[in-house]
Amino acid sequence: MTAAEIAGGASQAARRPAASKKRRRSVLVSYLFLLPYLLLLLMFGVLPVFYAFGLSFFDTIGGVFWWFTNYQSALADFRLSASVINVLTYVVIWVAVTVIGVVALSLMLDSIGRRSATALRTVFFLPGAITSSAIVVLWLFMLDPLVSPFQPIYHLLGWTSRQNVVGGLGFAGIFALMGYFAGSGGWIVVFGGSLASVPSELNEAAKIDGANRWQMAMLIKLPMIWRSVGLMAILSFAGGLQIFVEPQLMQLGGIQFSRTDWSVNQLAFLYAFSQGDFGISAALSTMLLTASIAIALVIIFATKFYKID
Amino acid sequence: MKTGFAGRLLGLAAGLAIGLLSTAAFADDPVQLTVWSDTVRLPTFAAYQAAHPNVKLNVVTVGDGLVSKLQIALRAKSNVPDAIFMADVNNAALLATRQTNYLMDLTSAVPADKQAEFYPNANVPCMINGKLMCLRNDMAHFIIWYNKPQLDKLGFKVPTTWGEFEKLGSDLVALKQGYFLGSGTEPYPLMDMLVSAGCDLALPDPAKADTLKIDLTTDACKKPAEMVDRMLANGSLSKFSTFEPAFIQQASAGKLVLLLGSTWFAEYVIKPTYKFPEKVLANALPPKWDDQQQPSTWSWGGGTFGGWKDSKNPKELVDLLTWVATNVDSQKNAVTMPADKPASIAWGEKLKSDGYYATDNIFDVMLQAAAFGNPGYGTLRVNVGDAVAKVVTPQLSNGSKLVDLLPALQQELTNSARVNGYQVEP
Repeated sequence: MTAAEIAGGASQAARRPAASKKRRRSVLVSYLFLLPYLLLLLMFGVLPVFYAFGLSFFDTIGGVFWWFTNYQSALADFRLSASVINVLTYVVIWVAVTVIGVVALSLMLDSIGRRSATALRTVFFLPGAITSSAIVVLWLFMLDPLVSPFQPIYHLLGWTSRQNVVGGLGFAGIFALMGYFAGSGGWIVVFGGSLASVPSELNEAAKIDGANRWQMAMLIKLPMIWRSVGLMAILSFAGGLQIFVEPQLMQLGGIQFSRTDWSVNQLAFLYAFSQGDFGISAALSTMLLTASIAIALVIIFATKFYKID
Repeated sequence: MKTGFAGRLLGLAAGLAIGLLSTAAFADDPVQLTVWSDTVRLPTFAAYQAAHPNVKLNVVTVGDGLVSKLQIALRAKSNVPDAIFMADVNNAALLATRQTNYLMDLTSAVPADKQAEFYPNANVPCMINGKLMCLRNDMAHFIIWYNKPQLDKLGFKVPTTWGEFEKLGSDLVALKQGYFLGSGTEPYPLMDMLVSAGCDLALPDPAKADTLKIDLTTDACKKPAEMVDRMLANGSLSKFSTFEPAFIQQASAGKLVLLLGSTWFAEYVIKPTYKFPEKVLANALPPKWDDQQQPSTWSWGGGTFGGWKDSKNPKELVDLLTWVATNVDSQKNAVTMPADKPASIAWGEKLKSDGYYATDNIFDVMLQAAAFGNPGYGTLRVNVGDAVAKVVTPQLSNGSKLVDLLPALQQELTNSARVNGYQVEP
């Protein structure tokens, strides 16, 4: 940029002082509206992250800076690798089931009558209204062959005790199922909205060209909503890595289902609130957060998620 | 407004007078102690309050997650309670570490004659590296509970050895009526059976600080493990856990003839959950192995009282802890068998006139069995029950053999012990 250009720009700005002032004021007002949220985000979202990050380099009892000692202790913990495998298994199953299940249901709902589709969407949404803690208790009954409505299926598989069912499905499988029924309803509603925004001319043109329902769903509608599918996958992935409540509450079913070290987040919790070692806990949390962010960034850039067509 | 000199002087004098008055009032104020209690122990603290007008208790009800809540309070350095009730014996170990240095050393603070009142080994769950860090509230040792009319009708005797226990199981199975002797997968009864013959299942080495003995390769471990395997195979021990619906269904249908349960099992499990009718339940001493002089029995629970080492009123605090654990008039009304012997004898009186049991020596058996408490039942930063629940119980339920699972359990316990800062010796 040359000096003349800058001068020119300045004179241009000077020529339209009123407009610029107005715009500046409207920007200011937007920030004012954002302020309460930003403040809360800073206090309860950003600062704790930095606090934990700082804490992870300290001996939290003596207040001594000791570099990566907490990270070394955390990485040396024999439970860490097992919990990472647990969590990854869970996330892969959950995200796969969610993507396939939610997309399939949404596309099917889009091809039936509007009124019944709305009614069904509400039904699908209902399980999501129950908190995950309550869902665990509910599931403990569903998993028991003696009282479960799925008793015939369990017996068909030769499962006669809750332990058989839990062993057969695996903790990761059970949490994925819990997560699917708790979270899919909301996404089905969101996808209903995305599908409704697909231009009706497109659908009609496809119909005239002789596309059947399957072809319309797979070739016309699905490509139009893939961005929402991607968003769902990213959010589910990032959220899934943080799994805590479900395994933590399994102990309500009895000590034989208690797994206090099943997930990475539980391990961090154990360190902080059972052993009082906040440094190692902070190190674990920092690593978990870094992993979540890294994975989300890879997905965003690999899929050019924010690129506007 | 302008205030004259006289007015200011008057104000000063009034202020001084109020100040003096309030100091005088403070001097007479009772000592404040904050207590974190569970709901069950509230009457105990209320009784202390009623008997001690010089102390003002501020009782906060804290249910699950005592250790977590205490960690937060300690970290925030505010609202730290002076006294706590620990429902889990392992709590004490977690609260007397470098990271969480909460518990007060009571070794010399609690009078020796009071300490001597407790049952032998009752305060082992309060001993951390040779120091008394809490006081035990209640006993929870395993004994035999059985259906007396059922056993009499079938013509069997109560087993006194583990050999007789196994024999009774196979005799009952031979009747093909679905009779059984409790759970063979529930962690705590499994631990009781494993330790009964002297298996080193993460027991503290009393001679060395922070050292655990973990060795599951010995015959002392294999002998009971093989017994459990045989009894699970023939069905005399259930594959279901103690609180699973299927177990409860069979137990309340009269199929549960006898089981190993802790002292609180009658009142809190067998009566309300297994629905044993009146005049049916009796108890007996835990079994011993043929080569043992006397039984060695594990425990399932038993709470403890602890105090804060930085309390502003240590004298009153120690008095409070001693009182709630040992006061006869208060503890005789406790819901579970007190660990303080004189208090427990007073407590046991009501069992004699309790119409629920089939015999009137229920308490005598509990008292006699208390002497057999395993000195290894202590407070640990390793949760042995969780380890068994993780690597043994599910696999047993799905058909594995306990003998084959011992190496995995040893590995899990050793790893947990090291992560939690223990030395492990075989």
